[in-house]
Amino acid sequence: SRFTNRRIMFLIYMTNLVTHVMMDEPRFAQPIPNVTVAVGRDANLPCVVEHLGGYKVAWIHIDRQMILTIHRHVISRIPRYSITYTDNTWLLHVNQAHQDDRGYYMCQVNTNPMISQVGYLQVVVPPNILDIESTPSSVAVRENQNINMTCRADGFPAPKIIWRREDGEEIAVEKKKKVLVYDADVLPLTKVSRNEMGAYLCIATNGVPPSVSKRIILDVEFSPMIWVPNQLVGAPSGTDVTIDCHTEAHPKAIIYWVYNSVMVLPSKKYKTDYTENSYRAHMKLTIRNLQYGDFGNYRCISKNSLGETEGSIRVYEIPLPSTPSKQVTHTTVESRENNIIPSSRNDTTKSLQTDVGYAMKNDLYPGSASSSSSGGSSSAASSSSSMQTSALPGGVAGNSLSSMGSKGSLAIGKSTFYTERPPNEYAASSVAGLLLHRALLFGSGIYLTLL
Amino acid sequence: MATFQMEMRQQQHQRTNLRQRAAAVATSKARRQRQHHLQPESTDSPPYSTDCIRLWPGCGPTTADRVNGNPPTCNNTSSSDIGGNISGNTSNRISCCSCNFGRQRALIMLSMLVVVMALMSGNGVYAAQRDSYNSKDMSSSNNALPNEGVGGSAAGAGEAAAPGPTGIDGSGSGNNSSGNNKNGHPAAGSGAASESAALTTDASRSSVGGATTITGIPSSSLHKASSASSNTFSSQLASGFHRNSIDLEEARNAGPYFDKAFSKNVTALLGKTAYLNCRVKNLGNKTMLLQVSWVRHRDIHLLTVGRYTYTSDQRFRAIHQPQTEDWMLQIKYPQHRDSGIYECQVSTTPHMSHYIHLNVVEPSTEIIGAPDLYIESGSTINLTCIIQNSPEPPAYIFWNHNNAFPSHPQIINYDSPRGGVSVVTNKGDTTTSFLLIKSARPSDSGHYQCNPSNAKPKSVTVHVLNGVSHSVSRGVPSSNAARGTSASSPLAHSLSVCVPVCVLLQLGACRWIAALLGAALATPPPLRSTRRATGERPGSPGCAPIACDMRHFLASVLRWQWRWCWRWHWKGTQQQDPRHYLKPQSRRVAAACRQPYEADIR
Repeated sequence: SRFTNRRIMFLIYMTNLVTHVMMDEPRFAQPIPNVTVAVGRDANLPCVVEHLGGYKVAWIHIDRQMILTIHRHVISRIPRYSITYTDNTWLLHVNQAHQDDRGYYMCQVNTNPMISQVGYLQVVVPPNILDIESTPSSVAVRENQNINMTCRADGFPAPKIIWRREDGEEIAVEKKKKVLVYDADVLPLTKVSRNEMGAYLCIATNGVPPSVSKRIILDVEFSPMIWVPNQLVGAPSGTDVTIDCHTEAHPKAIIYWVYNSVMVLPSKKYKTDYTENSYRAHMKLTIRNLQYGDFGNYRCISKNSLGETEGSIRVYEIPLPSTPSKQVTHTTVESRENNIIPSSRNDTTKSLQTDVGYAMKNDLYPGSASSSSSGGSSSAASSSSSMQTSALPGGVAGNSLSSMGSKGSLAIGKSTFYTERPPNEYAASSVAGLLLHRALLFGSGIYLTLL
Repeated sequence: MATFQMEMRQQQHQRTNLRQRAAAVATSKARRQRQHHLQPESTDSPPYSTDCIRLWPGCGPTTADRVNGNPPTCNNTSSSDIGGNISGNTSNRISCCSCNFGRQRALIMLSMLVVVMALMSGNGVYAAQRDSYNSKDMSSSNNALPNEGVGGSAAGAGEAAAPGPTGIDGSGSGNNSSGNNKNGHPAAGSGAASESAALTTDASRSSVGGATTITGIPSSSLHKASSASSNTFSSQLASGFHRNSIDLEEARNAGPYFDKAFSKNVTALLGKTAYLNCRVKNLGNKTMLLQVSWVRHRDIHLLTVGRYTYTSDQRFRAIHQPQTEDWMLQIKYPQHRDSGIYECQVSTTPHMSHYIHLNVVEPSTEIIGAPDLYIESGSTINLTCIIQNSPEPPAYIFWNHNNAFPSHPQIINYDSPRGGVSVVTNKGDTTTSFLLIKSARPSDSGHYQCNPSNAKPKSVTVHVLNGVSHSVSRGVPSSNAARGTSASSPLAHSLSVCVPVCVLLQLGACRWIAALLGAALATPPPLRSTRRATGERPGSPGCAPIACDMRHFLASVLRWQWRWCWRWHWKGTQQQDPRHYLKPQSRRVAAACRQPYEADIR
């Protein structure tokens, strides 16, 4: 009994040992990892094989169906491929990867049957903005007009494009909704205002560094506007007085002063100052040593390629008071006049603007009226044609029916009135006649109905 | 009527005052008139048939009847003249004048009524025919549209000619029918009907025009599509040829290329060595650098590289003789699973590939009638052996027969000791061999084996039946297929409904006109006598012609109507018997009315 058990145990042990020794076949120790590489860089695909023995390892690019290497020999004539072998690892080197190198690679061992492993090489491309398909770096648009700024980019994976302003301001898109960053290829700006003038950045990213951006400068053009803070200035003779105007214009405008239809040039008497900030400008005129000839109407004019505008400032003399009480009275009057007159001028300007808007509306109205009238005429024509179409068969049927009815009634009347017979025979024959007549009509009606 | 009665009363008063005898005479005369009036009723037991018969002979008999009816009236008048005095004569004349005027009026009104009735019915019928005519036009136009479509298509050249004559015939028949209708109808009615018909025709024409326009667009688009496809095809052919030529030139100039004439698909026999050849030309001095490899596409298994065999499957081997351009892949013992695409690849940049399809087939042997054949004794044994899927005909086909000793089969041949044996073999892609043994005997039973050289053998067991009593007679199976019942079409139904309607209409018209004419006939005798007494002879010829014209007119109208009705009915349902729809009560009447028209119909 003991010897039998020992023999059995011995047999089992020996069987396991022999099996272990016999099972010395090649096998893949680990799978081929998926490798991601940027275009132009190097990539390595490892194939780890244990117990290779006398068998050979081969690399094949499945997508191209191209044999790359067998054992240590590189079969492909593409010099970017090479093979190295260290510690059971067969390393396939892909130098300066191309996009064509993207795809599945197979590591194959020539056992019978053949064993193989597959790994994927992903070749990614950094984003690149396509200038030809994008909006130019500088673009101009009239105020209150619409503009779509486009930015196209290629790369792998496909890049995502965002828009933002260089100065960090918010962008007004989709009915004046303010956003700091806008995600889309096309940036739609509607009814552009002068506040939206500036530099915009289009940034393309796809996760592969480096990200790229393009700077687009947006110019909003509008005709000049002038704002006069003080339209009536008083000063005594012999003193200096300064009048000023505020103006906005883009493109940049020419500004100058006119007095008595003569352009004011810098001289001993006149000094002009001009300071500008973006599309805004502040122009000042200083008149030294006021004399009788200097009092009057001064005009500040601003003119650019889209139009011109002017403001008017009246300089009048304030007599020097002899008594203190008089001085106080004059000062009060002056302030009152200043407060009242500018507001009226502003109202006049606003009313003019309203007229302009009304005129524009009038321009639009005739077009709409003509379109509505043409629509009406077309609808009338269609209705008349439909009436004609429907009238033909209906008319024919109606005519036939009415004619039948009229003829029947005439016949009945005549037969009743003009028959000359005895009373009893007359009644019987008339009844029979009516029945026959109605039968005839019925038959004719059926005839027509069937046909 | 009132005037007549008053005059009669006056006469009676005078006679009563003067003589009782005269009154008695008058009474007797009145009685005679009553009897005369009753006689026609008693004679005509079916009144309508009699009236119909009277209607149709013509005007002569009617005139004769009128002449016969005159004498009683004349006698009455003369007797009154004899018995009466001057005042009586005057009153009589006045009464006669008034009677004449009233009767003339009645006749005129009756004739007008008849004309109105005729016009009404005629107009309706004519309009109906117009409608049918228009429907025919529409049907013909509908037929025309497909013809145009067929003509438009490229493949319709032959078919376009056939429908043409049919369309022409249809239009011709339509014109003929319309002409007949117009000829047979009065002017006024035809005018009104033609006007309405014209309107209908215009409507149908406009609709047809619309249909044509709608139909035209798809046909033109179809043409464009077909032309586009043909252009694409031709352009593809041209571009393909161009590219092929360019490729060849480039290949010859630049580097190696495949000689496809010597690198074709291979069909191999199961278990027999197969060779896949790949001829690469212009490999040049680059032999040491460029490698020609074989790859199996089933599992992308690399087989050989150059002369080196990579795969460890010993069945595959690379064969290449130096100084030659052939790189062969040898496959020993090919199996069915080895079928598929094999790629011959040259390691250029970019690499070149040529695909060869390997098909591993196994020849099959079939004997018709296997596995058992039963043959009567004395007849001829005919065994047919078919060898398929063989790349080449077999070198030989042996027929073996083992009867008593299965372990020792005998080879059957034309020089067999049995005699009466012949073997016919037709070699080709599919080889067939026939074994013919005449005058079969029971000893010929047993296993027969067809053994071709390149396929598996196949055997069949032959049983030779002994004696006539054992013969099996095969009867042809007779299948009793039930005949499907033909469904009645709605058109036939509607047409069948039309027949009684036509008959009813005809009867109604006949009765109506009979009543009218009966009334007219009852009136003339007094009119005639009165006219003669008063001496108005010019008036009498005026009455007869009117009556004759009316009768002719009515007869023609009825004849025309009936003819049209029957024609339409026959066109619709030629197979059905029209009498099936006639009621037994009205058969006599219909037959009687129809008799005068049979000649016209024929």
